Amino acid sequence: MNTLSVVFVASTVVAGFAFGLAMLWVTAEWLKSEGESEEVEAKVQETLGAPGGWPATVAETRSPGP
Amino acid sequence: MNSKPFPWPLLAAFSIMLVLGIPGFLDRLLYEHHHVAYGRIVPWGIWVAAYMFFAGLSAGAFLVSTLATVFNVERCRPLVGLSLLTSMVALGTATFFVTADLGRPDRGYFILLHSNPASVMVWLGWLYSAFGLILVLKLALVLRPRWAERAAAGGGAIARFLAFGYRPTRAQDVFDRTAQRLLGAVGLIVALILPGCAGTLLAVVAGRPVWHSGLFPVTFVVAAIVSGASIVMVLGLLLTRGGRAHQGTLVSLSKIVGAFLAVEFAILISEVLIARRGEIPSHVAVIETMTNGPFSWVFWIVQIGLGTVLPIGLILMPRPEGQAPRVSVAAIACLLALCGAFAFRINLLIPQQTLPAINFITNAKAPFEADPVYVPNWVEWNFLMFGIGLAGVGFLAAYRLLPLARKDEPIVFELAMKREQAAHGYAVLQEVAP
Repeated sequence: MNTLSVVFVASTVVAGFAFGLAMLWVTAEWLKSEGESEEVEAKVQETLGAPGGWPATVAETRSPGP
Repeated sequence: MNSKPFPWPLLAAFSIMLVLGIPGFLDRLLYEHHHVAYGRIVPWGIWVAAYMFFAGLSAGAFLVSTLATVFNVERCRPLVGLSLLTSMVALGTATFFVTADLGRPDRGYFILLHSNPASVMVWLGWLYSAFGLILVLKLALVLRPRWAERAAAGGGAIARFLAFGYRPTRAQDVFDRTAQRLLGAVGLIVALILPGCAGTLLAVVAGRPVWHSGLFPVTFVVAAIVSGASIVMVLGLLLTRGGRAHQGTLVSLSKIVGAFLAVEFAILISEVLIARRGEIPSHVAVIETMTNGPFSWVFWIVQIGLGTVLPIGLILMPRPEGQAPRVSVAAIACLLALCGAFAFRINLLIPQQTLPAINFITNAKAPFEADPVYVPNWVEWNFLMFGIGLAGVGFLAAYRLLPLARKDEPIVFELAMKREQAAHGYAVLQEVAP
């Protein structure tokens, strides 16, 4: 194997490395954003009650009607 | 140690495998390669497939740990110790299997001392050595505060030694975190190059058309992440106890497995279609052997059906809104993905070798005693059982003995995170609420 072929082989290894790094970076960003959205969802549910229900504070201020 | 009961039945199962596999181990030790089915036509048998599987698993598990230590995904931090231990045991197991395949294991270290720098195999030797060293250093850094805790509680000389003079100060924590991050970054580079290099080792063989592909280094990196994330997810569920957020992290890991499985599947389809389109006889013959040969069930049923399509379906199947994450289903999917990952290595390695690059070898059967059909015999299966049993027992023993996890670590971690982020959470809520 001459120097040029070593360079070619090394470049395929680098391709695998670059692809893996890019995929991992995207994965990490996705994990962060998913963690944040889960936290926000949990916080909203904790404060406003069950999903789909009226927030307690809004329900209390609604007019009882005629 | 850990709030989940220690999995004694699993330890018993691995111990039985270890004991049952002793005859195969002794046979390899005493009779070298005399009683194995691989040989001149198929020189790399199931032990090399096992080596590739465990090497990928090792790199992949380490990459999972870097999500927390390098990419700052804090929710993955409780899995760092587990990932590192998994990576270390898998690296040891890979070395065990590849050593068994060597004709002269006692000369194995020659690859480091008498190297040809132009050889991809030599690169692998150096990289595995560097990776092992990084793993030991990083695990020592992760564990030393816990050894210090044990030493403070009267843990003895070993705990004091392994604490390496750790003092619970803020400056010490900052130093350790920085060192972990640095080691994680160097390890990340090595762990990404390692599977790519293993793929390149096959890709440079021009006489083997299916191996001779520029996509191989990428395929191996993807396969490593699939197997690493799968094993950490399964072990995380089995060994650690956490709240909803921790379970959410494990489900997220399984989604990563699903996404990377889909990428791996797409690469496989691409390889097969290109081979079919090219119609080069030697290339098509390998694909035919894999998909229509006597062991096509390993490809269709184990690798594609159970190891790829079913896990992707189980993991990425949309669930009704408000339904709790299906951690157990995700774990089953990850276990299936692991089986598929092993079948993937077998299909990659064996069918290509059954069609010899030089045809006269098969035509001259008598002097070479060569058979192009390779089926692992009892010695190989038995030895494989021994190696897997040894890995399982070694991992569980280390998990039991090392201060790997504080009691309820994920739960403690979640509470700490909630306290830290309480102010931030309120601010986010202000933006969301009308």
